[in-house]
This record gives sequence, C-alpha cells and structure tokens, in this order.
Amino acid sequence: MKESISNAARGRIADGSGRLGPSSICLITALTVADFIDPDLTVDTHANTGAQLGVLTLAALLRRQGYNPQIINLDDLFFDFVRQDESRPSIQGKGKPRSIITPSDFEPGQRVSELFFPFVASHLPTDSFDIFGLSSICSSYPLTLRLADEIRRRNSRAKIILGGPQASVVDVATMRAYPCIDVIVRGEADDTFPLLLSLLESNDPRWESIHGITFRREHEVIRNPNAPVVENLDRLPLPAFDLDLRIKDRNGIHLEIGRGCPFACTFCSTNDFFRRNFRLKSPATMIADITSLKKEYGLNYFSLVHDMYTIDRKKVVAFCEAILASGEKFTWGCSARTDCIDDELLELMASAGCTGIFFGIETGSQRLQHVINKKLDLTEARQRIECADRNGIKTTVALIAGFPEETLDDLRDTIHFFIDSLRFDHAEPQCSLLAPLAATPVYDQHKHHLVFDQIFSDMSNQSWQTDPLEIEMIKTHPDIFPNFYAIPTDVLDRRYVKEVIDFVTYLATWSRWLPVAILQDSGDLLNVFDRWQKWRLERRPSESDEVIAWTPYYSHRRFHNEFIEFVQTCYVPEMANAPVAIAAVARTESAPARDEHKPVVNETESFEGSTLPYKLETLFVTNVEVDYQELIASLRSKTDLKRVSPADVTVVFSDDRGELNVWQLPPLAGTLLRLCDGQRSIAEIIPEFSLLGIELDGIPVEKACLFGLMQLRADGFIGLSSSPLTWIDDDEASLGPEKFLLPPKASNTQQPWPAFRAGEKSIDSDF
Amino acid sequence: MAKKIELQIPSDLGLTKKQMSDLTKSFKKQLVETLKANQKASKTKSKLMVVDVLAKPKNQVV
Repeated sequence: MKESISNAARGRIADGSGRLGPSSICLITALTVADFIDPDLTVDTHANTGAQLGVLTLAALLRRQGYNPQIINLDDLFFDFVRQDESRPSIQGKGKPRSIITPSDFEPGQRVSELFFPFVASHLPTDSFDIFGLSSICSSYPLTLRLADEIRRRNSRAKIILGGPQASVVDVATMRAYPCIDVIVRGEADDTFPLLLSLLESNDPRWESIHGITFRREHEVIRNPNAPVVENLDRLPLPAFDLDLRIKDRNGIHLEIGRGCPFACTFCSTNDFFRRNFRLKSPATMIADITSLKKEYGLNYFSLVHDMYTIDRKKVVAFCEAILASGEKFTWGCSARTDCIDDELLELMASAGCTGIFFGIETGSQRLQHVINKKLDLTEARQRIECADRNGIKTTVALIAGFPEETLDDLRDTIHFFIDSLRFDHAEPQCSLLAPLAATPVYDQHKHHLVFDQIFSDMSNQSWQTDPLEIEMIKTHPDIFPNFYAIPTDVLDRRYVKEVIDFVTYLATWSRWLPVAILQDSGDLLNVFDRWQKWRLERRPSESDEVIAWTPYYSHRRFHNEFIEFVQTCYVPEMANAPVAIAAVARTESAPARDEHKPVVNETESFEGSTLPYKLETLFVTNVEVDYQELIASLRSKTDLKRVSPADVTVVFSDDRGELNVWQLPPLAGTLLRLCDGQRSIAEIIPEFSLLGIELDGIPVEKACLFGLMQLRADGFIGLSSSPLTWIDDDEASLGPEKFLLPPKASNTQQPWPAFRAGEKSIDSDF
Repeated sequence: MAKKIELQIPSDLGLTKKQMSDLTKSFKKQLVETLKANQKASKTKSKLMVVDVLAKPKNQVV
C-alpha cells in the first residue's frame, strides 16, 4: 500500500500535474539544551549543538518535493533567552536586535523557567504557516506539547504534526490527551513525513493508510502499522545545514553516520525508534559530505552520530582508511561499546582523526551489567578507556545510578568507576540518575508503580527548575511523561543516590586529583561521603561562607571550599591512611578564587640591585610536604600513597594560553620565589637569602641568589619592576578565579567535543 | 606575562660548569603535569554571579 501511495505522490512531481509547495511548513526542533544556570556555559554548549539532524534532513527532503520549510530552533531561542544578548540576530529579524527578558521581568517568587514558555510563544509565527511539524525528545516533551497547544489556540486551521523519539513511543496517549495534535509520525520519518504532506496537500484520503503514523479520525485515535526503516541511508540528502542560522559560529556539527543498535539494554529508548536495525552510510558518502561541509562552512570537527558505531569492525577500518587515503584533514567523534573496539582499532581511529568517543559503561557493578543486559566486562572497559587515553582520544565515560535492583555495593562500584576514570587525562566521567524512558524494557517492567518524587534525572529535566505548569502536566499524564517519574529502588533511598551523584560529579568538576586521592586512600568513597554528610550537619556556619542563593549546593564553589575544609579538618586527622599525601593534594587544590588585583608595574629588563622582582600575578604558589611529582605518579598508577617521599616542595600553577601547567620547584627556588614580592629589591633579597644559611658547595650565596632569580625569570615565574608594585583597587581589574575546573559536559548523551576557545574555530583545526 | 630573557649566567656570574649544574638542580622548575583543558575556568565567577542575578525575583534585584 505504502509503495503505491508513494509512487503516486512522486508521480505528481514528475509529471508536473500540480505543484506540491503551496503549503507553508514550519519545523520546530525539540529543546535539547537545558542550563538556566550559566549563560557562558550555555554559549559553549550551544556552539556544539545546532539544529537537530532529523529536522534538517526532513527539511532537505521536503525541498526535493518543492516545499520551502522554515525551521525554528528552540535551542537558539533558549540560547537567546539565557544569554540576554541583544546583539544576537533573532530568528525572525536576522540581525536585528530584539527585546529579551531581563531580570526586571521577574515577579516576586517567579521562577526563571516560568518565563521561557512565554518567551518562545512570543516568537512563534503561528499565523504564517499551514503546517507545523514539531520534533520531540523526552526531557522537553511538556514544552513541545504546550507549544502545540499554543499554535492550535492561535491558528485553528493549521495541521499540527509531531515526530521524533518521544512522540513516537507515547503516540496514542498523547493523541488522546492533546486534541490539538492531528498526526504523529512514528520512527524514522524520512519517507513518511514527505509522503504524508504530499497526500494531505492534495486532499488524497489515502494519507490515512500511510504506515508509521498515528492519527485522529473524529474521536478515535488510529495507529497504523510501523513504517519500514530507511535501509539505504546513502539515499538521504545532506541535511539542510543552511537552515541552521548559526552554523558559521560553530566549531563542529553533528553528522549522521548510521542508525540502529542491535543490543537490547533495558534502559535504552532507541531500540524502538530505529528497530535495532544496524545501518551505516558508506565511507564515500561520509567523506563527500564532510568535504562539502568543510568547504562550505569551514568546519573541522564532526560528531558522527550513531547509537553504536563500532559494531562492524571492518566498516570502521574502511572508513578510517578512506579518510587517510582522501588526505582530508578533520577531526571526529563517535560512540562505541568497550567490547566492540580494540586497541589496534583505537590507534587506527586516532590516526584518522578520531578525537572523542562516547563509551556507555552504564554501571560500575559487574553484577548489574548483567541485570541491565549491557554485559560489559568492566576490566576490559577500563583497558579500552586507558588505550583511548594513550592515543589522545577523549572519552565520555557515561554511567547511570538508581537502577531498581541497585544495592549499596553496586552504587559504590559505579562511583568508584567514575572517580577511577579521572586518573586519565582524556576521560570525562558523567553519572545520571536512571530515568524510566517510555518503551524501554525497564519502563515496561515497572510502569505500574512509578513514583513522582521530583528527584529528577538530568535525562528528564529541561532546566534546573521545572515550570509549575509543566509539573502539573507531568502529574496528570504519567504515561506520556514517564521519564520525569522514578522507579522505586528496592534498597537505596533515591535522595541518597541523587546526592551521591551530585557529590562525585562536582568533586570531579572542582578538583583534579582530590577525589582520586581520597578513593585511593580510603578504598570506600561512600564511607567518606557518609562521614562528609555527618560533618556537614555538625559544621557551624562561618562568616566567610558564601551565600549560594538558588544555586544547587554541589554546583556552587561553597561545596568545594567546605569539602576542602572537611578533608583538612576531619578526613586527614580521622580517616586518612596516608595523611601527608592527602593533605598535600587538598592544599594544592584548595586554591580559592583569586581576589588579587592587577599590579601596576614599571617593567624593566635590568638585573640591578635596585630592581624589584615580583611573582607574576598569574601564578598560584603553594607548599607541600611530599614530592609532588611522585605523588601525582602514584595517583596515576594507583600505588601506595604512603610510599610517596617526604620533601619540602613548592608547587606552582601557571596558566599557559588556557592550559594549566603544574610545576614543582626545589626548596631553594621556592624560598626565593616567596621573597619576590615586588616590594623587596634584589639588594634587599640577597641578604635575606643569605640569612637562611644555605650551603651551596662553595658557591657564594649572592651568586646563587642571582642565579636563582635569573632562573625564575627564565622560567617565567617572576617579572622585574624598577619601582615597588602598587595594586589597582578595582573589581574590574581582579583576576579570573579558578584553576581546577574541568570543562563542562556539552551534553550528557554525546561524545566529548574538542576543547574550544573563543575566537577559534577549533583547537583541533591544525590536525 | 613578563618577557623571558636570555641568561648570561656564566659570563655575568663567573660560575664553572659544575657550579652551573648544581645551581640548576637547586633552582630549575620541573613540569609535573599539564592539567586537563581548563579554558572554562575563568567563567566560574561569572557563572556564580549570573546565577545570583537570574535567581533573584524583581524586588530583590538591585
């Protein structure tokens, strides 16, 4: 049936019997970015997202049929809403500044999230289109449905069609609850949606027979059989990237390399959508597309989208070899299972420009690996992560906690896996709370006893606060929004699990080595967490405590400061097996936000007695009582921290074009550096240095001192001034604060993106 | 960042090669590691400040 309908539609184009494009079509993407907290981070996230591939591909297919679809990218609107940057072009005005919401728009007690829907609604050109196609994902599905309702309220004649992963799996319940929706296109819409439009356009009643749609006939909801998947992905056009208004601002884009994962993990929602049917685009198509996009938009990084790319080793090898043979220079990322990749393949992928891999590890518990049907060997998983690290490939190590069968031991294993992966420079662990996604085995098993405890997973939370209206929608329709619900855990308190996740997530964000050191030292991070919770309850507030306002506690710097305090005053004296080593790590990572001010310097190059050396303001200097190099080596290799040699060591952190170099200084150099305060002249420093009674095997102390100053100067640690330094007492001149932050995660479902600096297309562009 | 200068230590200070070597050990920095990309670090402050502004209802915004 479908084939004949399809041919009929194509025939209309071919024989010119009627133009298919009089209807105006507006495609609205699903909101995928969700950070009301930090506009700057949102900017970076935004640089890495772009309009969704499904929508852009549909737009390209519709163009083939003569339509001229327009796209509203909700991520763009979200970006504008959060950024509050009037210089940005609007989606409608293209370059014209537009009014945006400012803090003055708040009513007392109103939440930020409550302002987003009216903001989006005010930008919907509801009267201008005949057909609206809204894509959907679980986390922003309430918003999508509100928008559909708003469109219907303002344009009773428009056809409203939903598609995408979430609408596909909760289609019948959605149609019954939301009469504003006319049709839901389920699964891969590349053939179904254009066909549907063409038949609707020509008032052909056969549209009701199209496979893969759910629709309404009077008061009845009818669900047609599934449509087949697109077997040959090479026949799909390049997505209409020109409709992504910000593509030229991006450092990379997503590009589909295939579809369908044949595995059947209990928590995963993509099985239903892609029917577990593994397909890949050919290397020739991929390289042609990438070459074209490089040329057109100057892109250098391509996030190659596939649920599980590396299943067919030969095809991955063929792709890598095709890249190398083509001579094209670009970097790319993909997803993989750690049991579907090997060291040799990782090396080849790295040589062909792969810089990022998303590894879904899911749980650090070998027992749960079988329960959730993932069945990874965790020892092998660690080896693959280590191999990727050796090859300079960034890995996202994705974990989930809160499975219904999860025990305390399972949770401990998962957070230990999380922290353990921090030993690798290129691994970025993330941990999400389990969300029961619709149509997954775990949902089907537990759907009759879900609870709404408002402890949201980041997989089901579109912002740090959910709009109260959307909360009501969720409460009314658990069958439409199950991902906002929870599966009761048999053993664990979900509130506890959530706090543990936040704890390790932000430990990893605020620190580099402290969580690794404490795990290595204690052997039981949950035990440390429990003690930390108790300590926090007992702790008396200090006047220096920062007010955290509405910021979630663990994401605030106050958590970092208090945890350092906990380590220094409780963990080290009470619990530590290697107290000196732990104290050293805590000290080096306790660097507070610098509140120093920029000095006024009269620079000189002259090493004269009157010259005043000063420690550069960009350095952070501290002293530890162990050999710091040995300590870090011990953390990397998981050797006994008690065996790290005691030593009087100065540690210096220096910022070098965005990278933070950590240096160890011998005791003499550290002593001398502390004397370089911009107030003492060289003539004054030498006698003070001499007073230390340093023996240097017959070398005169003044010569040693001068040598040391020259060496510090050559090492880039001190500057020279011809007059005493003064400081500007101006907040504007204060320096940026932190050193230990890791990059934020661009998304919790994507492979890691290359580091990106403002003003650069990509730091990997010189690959 | 101050400009680096070329050392003229042997001629300026009259040190022997052995003395140079000993002093270098006593003063020269050793790289421990380069921390993971932290180019977002400078944003921490603005992040927290913006949270405060966004989070306050109208009657609290100064």
